Amino acid sequence: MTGAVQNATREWTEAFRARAARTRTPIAATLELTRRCNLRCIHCYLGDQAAQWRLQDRELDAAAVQAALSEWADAGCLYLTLTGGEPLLRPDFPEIYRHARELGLVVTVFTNGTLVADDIAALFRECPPRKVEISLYGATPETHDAITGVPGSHARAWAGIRRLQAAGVRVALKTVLMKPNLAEREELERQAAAVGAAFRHDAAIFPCLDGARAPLALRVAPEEAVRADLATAERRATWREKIEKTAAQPAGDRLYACAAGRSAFHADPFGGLSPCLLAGHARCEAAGRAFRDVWNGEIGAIQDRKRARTDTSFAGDLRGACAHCPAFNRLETGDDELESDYMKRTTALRFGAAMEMDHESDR
Amino acid sequence: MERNVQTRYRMIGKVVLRRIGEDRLLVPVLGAVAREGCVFPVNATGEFIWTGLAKGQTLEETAAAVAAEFAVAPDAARADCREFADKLVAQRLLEVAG
Repeated sequence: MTGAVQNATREWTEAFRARAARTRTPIAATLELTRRCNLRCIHCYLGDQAAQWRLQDRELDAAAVQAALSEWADAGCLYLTLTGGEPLLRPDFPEIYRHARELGLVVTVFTNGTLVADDIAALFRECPPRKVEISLYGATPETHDAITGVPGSHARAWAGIRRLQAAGVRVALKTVLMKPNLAEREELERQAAAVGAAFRHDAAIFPCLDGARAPLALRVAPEEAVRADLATAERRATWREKIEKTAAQPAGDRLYACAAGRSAFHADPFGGLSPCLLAGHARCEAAGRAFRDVWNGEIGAIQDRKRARTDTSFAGDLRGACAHCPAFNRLETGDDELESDYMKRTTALRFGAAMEMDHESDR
Repeated sequence: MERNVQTRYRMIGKVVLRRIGEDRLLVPVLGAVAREGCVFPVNATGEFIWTGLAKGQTLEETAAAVAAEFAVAPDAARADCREFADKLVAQRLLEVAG
């Protein structure tokens, strides 16, 4: 009558996400606690940090953030990602974090690791997050620090990693793949494995949210991005599975075929809500309004948008190999449906490489 | 520790019961299980038993409430409660109180 008591299985989690999408329940949120950062990464989509620091006074205070978290939990939020900027720059991080956990939110923290002091490690030991994801931009101090613009940041990030692991906190490492660190990806992966941490990379670099395009010059060539994406048998299998699964389903006509505005949303530090981090064009002011009204109103509207073009990666046979999204397109080309040549080529190469490997494995 | 119908339990660390749509989840917040990042889906009966045991009711008191709530025989309710409590203990969500 009572059934099993076991940790949520992958099947249960997939079914839970599907139910949330069907019922439009906002189970997942990302919350930028601040856009300020103590690093100056050359690829960062937040752009000019001096401008972000000038906005500090506009950030919601802890009480307002806690009130918002309570509303989100009431509406069904389960998964919360605390991010930035650098979220640990906020002295009130512990009280915000603790409140989120006490609501029964499953919290992931994105950080650059440099501000993980003993008090943060102790907080996470007592009240653990699901995981802490730390960005490393190079396998060597020279590369990492050149990308972050802050000498010593590599050493401080690793000190943070060690402090968290000593506290029993689950740590995952990740990197943004770009020209200056392309040659160090494999070594980074080895370093993560050596400390028992999961690792992932992402070659997606997009323009700054303010429209500045400087980060795009750091992109690796599409061939390199695809080579890294398909570097291991596990990654090849994942892409093949995605391509085949997607091909088996009708393409549909929704422009935003993802969870944004359907079961997920994004909150900025200033009281704004949007369907996702990249969909800043759909931002709406939520301060002083009931979350459910915003969720059922402006945020959900993005899911009503239909595709008009039929000549894009989203619409055609390549769609399973397509790793970008309409909001990404809009940032780069100004049009949700218009892919850049770079993204189009990356998708085509990925599809070809994955299917070619598929044929080889069939022989 | 041996348990009988008068056994009471207490939470290990802190566990939050969440209701999200038709889903009910036990989310560990403090303690060793929380460190593993687990969430535990339970059904309506499980939720009912958890609530009783977590607030300090004995197995017998919880079983009586289950029998009344779900219109089942007392013996069946008692067996369900005992079995479910054992599972919660095995998952380190509850422990037998002193």
